[in-house]
This record gives sequence, C-alpha cells and structure tokens, in this order.
Amino acid sequence: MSNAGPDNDRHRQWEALADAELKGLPLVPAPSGLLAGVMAQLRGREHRPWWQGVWWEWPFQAKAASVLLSLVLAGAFGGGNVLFEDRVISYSDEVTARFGFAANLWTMLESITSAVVLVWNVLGQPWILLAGAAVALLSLAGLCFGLGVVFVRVAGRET
Amino acid sequence: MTDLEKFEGFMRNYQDMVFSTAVRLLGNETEAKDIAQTVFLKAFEAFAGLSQSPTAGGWLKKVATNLCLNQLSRYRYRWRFFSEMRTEEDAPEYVDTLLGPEPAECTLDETERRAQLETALQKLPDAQRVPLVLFHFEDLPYEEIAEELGVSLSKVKTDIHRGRRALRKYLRPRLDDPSRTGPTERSRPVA
Repeated sequence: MSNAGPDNDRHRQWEALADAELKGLPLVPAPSGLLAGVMAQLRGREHRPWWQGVWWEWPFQAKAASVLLSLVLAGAFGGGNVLFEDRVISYSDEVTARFGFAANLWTMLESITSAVVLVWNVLGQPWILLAGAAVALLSLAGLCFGLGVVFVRVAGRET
Repeated sequence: MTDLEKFEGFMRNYQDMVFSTAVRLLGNETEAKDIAQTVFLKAFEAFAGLSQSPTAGGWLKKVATNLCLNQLSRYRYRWRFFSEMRTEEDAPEYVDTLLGPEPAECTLDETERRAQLETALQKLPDAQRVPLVLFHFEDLPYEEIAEELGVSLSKVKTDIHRGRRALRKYLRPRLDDPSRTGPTERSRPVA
C-alpha cells in the first residue's frame, strides 16, 4: 500500500507523456489519389443520365410514370386484363396457366398454416411452441458453429 | 462556385484528418484509403448541412471511426477469434519484435522519431492498436472502448498498456518507463 501512491503518480506521468506524444503526431498525409478518386466518382454521378441513378432521385414525372407502368403490368397478370386487347388477354391467360403450380403451392401453404394454427389453439400453451422453436434454432446455430470451427481448424492445419 | 467545387475545398481541408483516423485504426493504407473514400462520399450526400457546420470535423471523424470498426469486426475479428484460441497466452511481447533505438541511446532527429512512432503505432497488432488509438486519439474512456469493441474493461486496459509498452522506444526519454508493473485505474488521459 505504501508504494501505491508514488507508483500511481509515475504511471500517470507516463500515460500523460504517451498521450502528449501520440496527440502531437502530425496527421498522416492522405494519398494523392484519394481526392481525385472521390471527385471523379462525384463527377461521374453528376453527368450520368437520370435513369441510371437510384429510383428515388428520378424526376417526379418519371417516378409517377414508372409507378403507373408497374401497376399496369401487375394488372396484366391479374384482374386488369380488361384493359388489353384479345391477344394480350390470351397471352395473360397463357402466363397464368404456366404459373398455375404457384396456386397449388399457395393452397398447400394455406393448409400448413391452418394446421399450425389448429395445433396452437389445441395446445393453448404457446410457450411450448416457442420453446420448441427456440431449442430447434439454438441446435441449428450450435451445429453451424461447430461445423465452422471444424472447417477452420482443418483449413488451418492444411495450410 | 458549384457544389462540387465547394466540396473539393472541403475535402482538401479534411482529407488528412480522415485518412489519419482510418490508417491509425486499421493499420493498413489501402483499406484506410477505401474507408476515407466512403466517408467523403457519405459527406457529399450530407454536404448541404455539413458545409457550414462547425462540427463537420467531428462528424467526419465519427463516421470514419465507425466505418473502421465495422471493417475490423467484419473481416478480422472472426479470424482473430480462432487464431487467439491458441496463441493469446504464448505469444511473445510485441515490444520485443520492434526495431528501434533504446531510449538511452536515442539520438534521432525529432521528425524521424515521430515518423518511427507513427510506423510502430500502425504496426501494432489490432488488439492493441485499436483501443490505444480510441483512447489517445479519439479521447474515448476505457468503458466506452470496452463497449464499442465488445470486450472486457480489464482487457482494454491491458491491451492499451501493452500497446504503450510496445511504443516506449519511440517516446521521448523524459521519464523512466514505469509501465512494467501494470495499468493505472484512471479513465482519461491527463491533458
């Protein structure tokens, strides 16, 4: 205990010296290419056509037109086919038929969801399901971590 | 004067500061240049507010620091985690691997000594350099550094202590090095 005072003082002095020395270091000059590189990127952005920029930076009219076009295109595959001529409608039907499997998939997903909801209601104990899900997730995370460690060790040994 | 011309002037004023922050945290000039570039591209997006702001320098430093810490955690810590499992305890003191004059025989010119200190700082291992830079250059207290890096307070203190020891050859020999006995308990450097 008797040495704690002087030792601490010397440490403080040492830290203060290190602090002053490090803070006194001059700035590291940026490489000459940094300014040129950033300015070239910014000039490139300035001169590129509006349609190559991000969507939210488009002119208002272009944004409105693109939203309208998207709605029309979406409508072509759904209830909006009345807008089109017969050949467009027939093409739309063709596409709808081609992607008919998606409707089956949707029906299947609906059935699974109903089953899950039913089980949930029957159990009346949502924490059981939550705990089960948590255990399953933790097990999977553990498995991934374990495999990662093994792979890294094997890779490290081979290199 | 266009916005781009104004921004060019702004960048000239701050580029060394941003680059210094990045290179000291990352210890790698190429990565530091990439980070500095990203910082200035972000700065351009916020230039309307930054151009007249007296805290523009602080904003740039903060963004640079955050990007560097993200970079370090994304690309280096994962690997360091595995490598430290076997080398942390047995690794030789980094101080012994640095070349440089002993304080007693230090006859270096001031500019040269500072250049060597800068190089030695950048060559410190990540685990020592990052907390040391955050403490001495960014003025963060130990607690905040520990939180920022996701490590314990004692590890931060030990790493900073080791970092300073590694650099002691390049510090002016005004005092004897008492750092062999361990770090002190203060939380901020004495001005």
